[in-house]
Amino acid sequence: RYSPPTVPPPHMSKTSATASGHALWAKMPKANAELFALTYGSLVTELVRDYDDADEINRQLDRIGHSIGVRCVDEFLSKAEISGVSIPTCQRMTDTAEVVARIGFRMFLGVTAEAANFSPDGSGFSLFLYENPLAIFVELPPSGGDG
Amino acid sequence: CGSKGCSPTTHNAVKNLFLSMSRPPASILDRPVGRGGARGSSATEGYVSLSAFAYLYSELVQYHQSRVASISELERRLESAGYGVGLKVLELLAYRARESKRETRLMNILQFVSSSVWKALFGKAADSLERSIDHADEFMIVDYEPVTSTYVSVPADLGQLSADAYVSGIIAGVLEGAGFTARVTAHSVRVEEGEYAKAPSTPGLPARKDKAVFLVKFSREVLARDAALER
Repeated sequence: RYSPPTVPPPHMSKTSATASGHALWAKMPKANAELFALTYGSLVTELVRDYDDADEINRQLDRIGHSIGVRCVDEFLSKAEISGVSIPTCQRMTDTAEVVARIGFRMFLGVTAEAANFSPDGSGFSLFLYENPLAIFVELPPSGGDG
Repeated sequence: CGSKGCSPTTHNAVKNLFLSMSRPPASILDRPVGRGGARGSSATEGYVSLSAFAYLYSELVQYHQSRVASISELERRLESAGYGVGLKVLELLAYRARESKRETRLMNILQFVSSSVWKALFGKAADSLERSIDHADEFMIVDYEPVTSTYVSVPADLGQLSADAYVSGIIAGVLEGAGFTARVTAHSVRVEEGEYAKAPSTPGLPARKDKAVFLVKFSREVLARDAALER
């Protein structure tokens, strides 16, 4: 029996991802970025009060971030569908990385992010954030370790 | 450089150029504090999505909730979480307004809170400022759609909890910083028929049944001082 050759779906193009990101950002109701940063500061202050160890604080923040991220993904998938913004299916990690960087970060935080530094086996990458709304009032002490 | 079409190589080149031209700021205190985004270079600079704020605030409430044994303790914790924010917001707004005189009268500081502070944090002035008929030291700031409880539904076993306790902490911080010590509490009050006719500002949500009323109770010294200034 003849079966037509399958054509793989198109790669996620960077410009279309950026455009989708801007389109979704425009539709999101907004909140003041300084209120956001100060609220985060309040949370971090409480963590620093409750825990002494920087690693433990980081673990707590990671857990909190993970929880937020899961909710973000659900919202992203539902909003993209409702507003008709096209998101081609992610075939590989590089596609997911581009979507997270160009659409996800733009949609929720209004910032530019870039996925780069992909590991050779395609299983890891780095996200570069050029502006961080969480840190607009923050300066880490020089000897405080990284946090 | 703007966020539109800025590639990392261009960005780094520009950044290096600036660093070589001038000494980098010594500390965060030397960096400009910005204009607060309301009149930023793009229409949406100085904003994040409401969802991001709602998720973050939800995590803050959950974090405190896991460490308390009662509803009032949770409200106290949320209030103290907001207190520090209030102190900082007062500093920020006073600096940006470049006012050389600070408010010394009760009504003026309340006006400042219900219009300037509200506009800066929530994008619009508070819906009303009222004074209590029964108590001379009590005032109420009303907000029909506070962002801290837009996506919150309080389960029955938490009864009278107001998720807006964080905002009452902010108000208390602003007032304390301005020299008007007050006890501020948040209350969820049922909206009466026909009281509030506007459609909800976040699309897709049903109209709220409760409004947030922030009860501000000034300390006796503050009232005495204000009365003395009246003469």
